[in-house]
Amino acid sequence: MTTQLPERLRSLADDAPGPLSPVGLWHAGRRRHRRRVVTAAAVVGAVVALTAGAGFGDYRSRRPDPAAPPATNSGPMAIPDRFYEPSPWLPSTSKPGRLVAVIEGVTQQHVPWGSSNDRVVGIAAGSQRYSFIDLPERASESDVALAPDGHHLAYWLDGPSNAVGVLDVTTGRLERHPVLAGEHLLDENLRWTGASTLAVEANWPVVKHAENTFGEEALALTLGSPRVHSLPLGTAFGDGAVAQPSGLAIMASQRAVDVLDPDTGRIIQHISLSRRLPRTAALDASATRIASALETNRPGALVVGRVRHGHVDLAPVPGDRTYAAVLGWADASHVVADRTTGHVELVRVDVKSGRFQTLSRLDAAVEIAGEALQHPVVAPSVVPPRPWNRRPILAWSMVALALLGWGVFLVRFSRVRR
Amino acid sequence: MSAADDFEEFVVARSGALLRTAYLLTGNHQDAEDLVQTALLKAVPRWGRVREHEPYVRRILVHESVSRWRRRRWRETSTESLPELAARSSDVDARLVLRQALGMLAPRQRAVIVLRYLDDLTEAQTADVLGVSVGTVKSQSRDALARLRGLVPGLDGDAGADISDAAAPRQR
Repeated sequence: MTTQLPERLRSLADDAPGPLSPVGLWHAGRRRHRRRVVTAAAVVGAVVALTAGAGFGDYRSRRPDPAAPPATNSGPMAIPDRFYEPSPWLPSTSKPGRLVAVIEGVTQQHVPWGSSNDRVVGIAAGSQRYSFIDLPERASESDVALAPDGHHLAYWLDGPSNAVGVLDVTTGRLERHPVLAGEHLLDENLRWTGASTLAVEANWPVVKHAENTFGEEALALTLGSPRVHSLPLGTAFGDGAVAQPSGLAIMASQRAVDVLDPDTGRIIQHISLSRRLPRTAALDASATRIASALETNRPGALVVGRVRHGHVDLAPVPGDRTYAAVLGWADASHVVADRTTGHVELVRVDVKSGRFQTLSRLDAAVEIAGEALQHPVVAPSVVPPRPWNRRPILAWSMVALALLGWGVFLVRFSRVRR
Repeated sequence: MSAADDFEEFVVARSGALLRTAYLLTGNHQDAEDLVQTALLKAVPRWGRVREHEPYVRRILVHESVSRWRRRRWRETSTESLPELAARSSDVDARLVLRQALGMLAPRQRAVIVLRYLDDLTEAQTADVLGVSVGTVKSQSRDALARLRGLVPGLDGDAGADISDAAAPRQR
């Protein structure tokens, strides 16, 4: 037997089967080709349809409701009769237009995976469009304060130096105000005292005479101006502060209210209180009436009083003890308050009779622009878009493609086995 | 002559040679017939546009063979040595050993051996059919021959001289 490979290969090849019959092969080849073209077209069509369907569905679920009223950047702001829990899949923007309210601490979801915690959702005045607001340079977990006219959002900026950023939500322009340079701030508060004035309070650790203590300062900022001036320190104006959106910055201890001129920081009126106020109180535009909710950790009764000779006698408002906070005065005889009864609602309360009228149902913790609370106008709410959760869509698309691929593989494999 | 007639004429004339190649690539009748039939079916759509039919079909044949090996290897196990043979005639044994040895080569190595030493293709033609460089054909051929010498007792070192690059198959 030969040891040469070519001869041995030819000898082995002699065992090969005889020639094939050509009958039907040509037509089988044509059919096979047509089948493959149809299969490829079906796969491409399915992928295109799936992608287009998901994209169009997502677009439809995100686009504003055409029946919704347009966004308004001027004029009175109406309060929607319901504020909804925002979807984590809302779109983002830095120019949502004038805002009637914001919701803080919302988690935004991203595709394919990942999420951003503590984002701010804005609800546009007029259109009631919900969207995440891009807050440039925002320090993580910084509080956000909505200006009474809904045009600006204030927040602390990220970075080595302390600065407050003010975003114009109608233009997307950010204004930076450096404050308290060199201090390591621990606790900061921002409070609008008018449409263009912002009060800032912060404290920081100080070692004095070998003892740990805290430095504390309150400042007033004015939009469009680099001027920063100090405000007198009372108590911290987070708790115990007197909120007043119409132009005066007001600070108070729990037994006294100081009415300030925000331009100079000067105390222009001192008002003593007949009882301690544990919660944020509201002074009316004429600085002659004060209202607040009693109790700190649960709903309580309302108390109101009129300023006479620098003193207020606070008396309970008739009615139930379901009020969480007073947000402001609607007019001379009504306050706007949060009421808690299983769910939270925004109500207008007659301070004489205690009768209330529901303005809005709050499904989320909203901060409403101050101007919207004065002589409040209620508009029918527009249900916000509920964009699809795109992760299941993506996952099901992948599963469908995998099944398609598996099917194609099976068909091919079965042909090989035949 | 129509493309269909031309195709059928080609099948009648060349399917035998293609089956010989396919048999050495697959190692059994059924797979060889299936491989040639699939290669011919795949060649149909472009039959009218291809000038040289046999190299085209052979290229499909070899690529299909390699693809099938890739699809099937998960259900096959290879061994490092050939199984013991029962007592048979020496010719049958020799063919069986060679067939099994070919089956133990990597599919590209097997294709190089079959194309070079059965179909008498040059290194350049083999490279063209496989879609690889001539250098790759050379290295695959060298490795395959070394493996075959280890697996096939009759294919000794002298045989290597006969099948070396110096004694390359004639040009066709």
